[in-house]
Amino acid sequence: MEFLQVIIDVWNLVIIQPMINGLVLLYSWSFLNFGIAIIAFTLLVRLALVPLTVKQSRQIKAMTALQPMMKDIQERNKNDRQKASRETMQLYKEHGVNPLGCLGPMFIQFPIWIGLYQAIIQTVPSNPESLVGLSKHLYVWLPSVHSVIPINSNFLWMDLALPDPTPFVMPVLVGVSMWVMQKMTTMPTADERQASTNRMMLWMMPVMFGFFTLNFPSGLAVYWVVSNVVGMVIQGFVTGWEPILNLFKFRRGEEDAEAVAATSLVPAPVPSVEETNDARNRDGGQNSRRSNRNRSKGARRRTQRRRNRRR
Amino acid sequence: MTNAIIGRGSSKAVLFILILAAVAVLVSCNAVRRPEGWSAGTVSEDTLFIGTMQGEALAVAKDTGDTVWRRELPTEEDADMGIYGSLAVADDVVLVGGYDGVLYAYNKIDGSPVWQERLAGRIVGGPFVAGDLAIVGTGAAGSSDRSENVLYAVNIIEGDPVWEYNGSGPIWSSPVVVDGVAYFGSLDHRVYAVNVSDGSEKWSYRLGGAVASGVAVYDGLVIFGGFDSNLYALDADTGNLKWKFPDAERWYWAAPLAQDGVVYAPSLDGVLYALDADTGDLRWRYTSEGQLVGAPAIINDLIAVPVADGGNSRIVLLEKNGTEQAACRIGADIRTSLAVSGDLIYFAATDHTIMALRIKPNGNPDEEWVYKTDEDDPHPRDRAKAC
Repeated sequence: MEFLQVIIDVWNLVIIQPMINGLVLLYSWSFLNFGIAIIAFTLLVRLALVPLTVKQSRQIKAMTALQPMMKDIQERNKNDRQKASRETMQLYKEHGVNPLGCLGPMFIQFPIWIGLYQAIIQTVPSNPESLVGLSKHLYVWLPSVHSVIPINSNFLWMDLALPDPTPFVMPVLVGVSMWVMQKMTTMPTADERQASTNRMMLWMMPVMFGFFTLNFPSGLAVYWVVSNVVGMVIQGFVTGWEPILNLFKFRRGEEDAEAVAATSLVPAPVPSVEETNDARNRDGGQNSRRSNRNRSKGARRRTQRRRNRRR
Repeated sequence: MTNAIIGRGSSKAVLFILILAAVAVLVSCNAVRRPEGWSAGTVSEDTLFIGTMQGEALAVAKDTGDTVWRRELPTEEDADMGIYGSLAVADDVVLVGGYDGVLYAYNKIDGSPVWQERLAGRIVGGPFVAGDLAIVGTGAAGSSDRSENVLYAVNIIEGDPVWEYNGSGPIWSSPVVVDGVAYFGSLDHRVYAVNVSDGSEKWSYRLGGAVASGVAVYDGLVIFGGFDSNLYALDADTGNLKWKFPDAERWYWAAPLAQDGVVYAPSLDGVLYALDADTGDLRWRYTSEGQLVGAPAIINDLIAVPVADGGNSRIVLLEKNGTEQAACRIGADIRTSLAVSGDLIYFAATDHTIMALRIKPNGNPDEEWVYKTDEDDPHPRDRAKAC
């Protein structure tokens, strides 16, 4: 219990208290409007996490580019899993990709997200208990945060301390924004098992968070919506707007689906690791990292279709 | 971002992390917290009247803890229930301010309902009986809606509002009426004096923070603390500032207590400040490890202080020079103010108990009785006495 208490104290000191005081300070600067304060705070947090988010997006993109080669390795070494694993690791090494690289930034962001949820819940007092609890978290040396308590939690049609009274607008907004976000970050895959997981996650997360929104303070819903929108913008700039544009281009979407289906049915004749190494040795290593990764997705698919037709 | 194409092992890891995160979010972010209430007791003749955390009005024999009557507030199904203020006792009725915004009146003898009146906003500070009127404030945290932030004068016999005074912020402070004037604080950073005869404002004083605490009216002074961590003494007649004590580190939540020229002011920083009532000069301070949410009381020439500190919560008995005489560890948070009758102290704790401590002539506390209000979670038979 002692150890648990220490963890809680450290968590409060390092994550919760700075966030609560930051939120209240923003509230005092944003015309005493807590909705604006949450939006500003979300933007600041997402801005601070941009380097991590961009790194994560690039790792995902790089991993995506290696998929055809990985599939080839797996097929060539069906009966020798150890060799397949060795070659896969070699491939990662060759292309400077860390297979868990996209998880690192995510691990770092989780405490921040959870802390933010807690901070919002504790900052908007819904009853006397929460107001007394808030007093423990406000910095003594920052008098301006004390002078604006209690926070006026009214924003648009909501009381940010309570669930959305409608009660479907915010759950729908959260669900839709999260679905679009998922759609943007889900790349087409040749692996049927992975595609199945992707399809499940595409719906599971929005439904889950939409459900949370029904019960949680609407301040959190505002955070989720803004955070998703910012995430979409960052993702769009890093990996392109194609997934979101496809939502509005039915025909184009169909073509992509066909291309993906074709890729999954017919393995691409990508060079083996040895061939890649030979090629690298021939050009002195200058073009070693200029394989699939540097070609646009469309170009890769066009080449793929041409190869399929020749067969 | 999490479900891009990555290796099979990694995709399982991502899925696992997502589920873990969802569980963590659920555990760490409990949904909107329900109000629990922390009603203080009121002793009238042989009975202690108090609100329970289950949203009931309870009358127990003050010497034995035996139930006289128990009445659940008829709160609407989805409404938040809870009783924060003290119950007010008039000649024939007991008045209960519910967090659901309804003022309830029960027969003092048998607890039968007499009337109930829905008021705007929520009731946090208890009602105060002044003649045939009950004065009570309303308002919800964070609400700037003037129609919800009202001081009401309600006729005790019929339950009809006689007048209303609209404030600009929630009124969580229990009003105190002295010489026909109701004094109360508001979360709008003001303390008000309102004439009880007609509800007209006599004066108001603006400070640097909200006021949730009740006020003490003593020797022509209105004394209260605010969220700006200052303790103020105003002239009760004019509302002019007499003195200000700025040393506390955190807010004042409970009303101060004044007696024999000394003001005892409990703060959420865990310190009880003893000040000279005339000048506001500090005489001594007692520092506890927890928070002082409820108001202290004087008993047998000792100062009894409720310290809220989770499992280390206790009632501390101080001599009038601030020296700790004795303490009784309770084991659950004590957020209520203390009620006193003779040599008994009464209070409620967050483990759903109401407790009576007898203060012996030597100053040591002794548990007199415990009343468990949650019947689904009774005390074990072999439970040891708190003190």
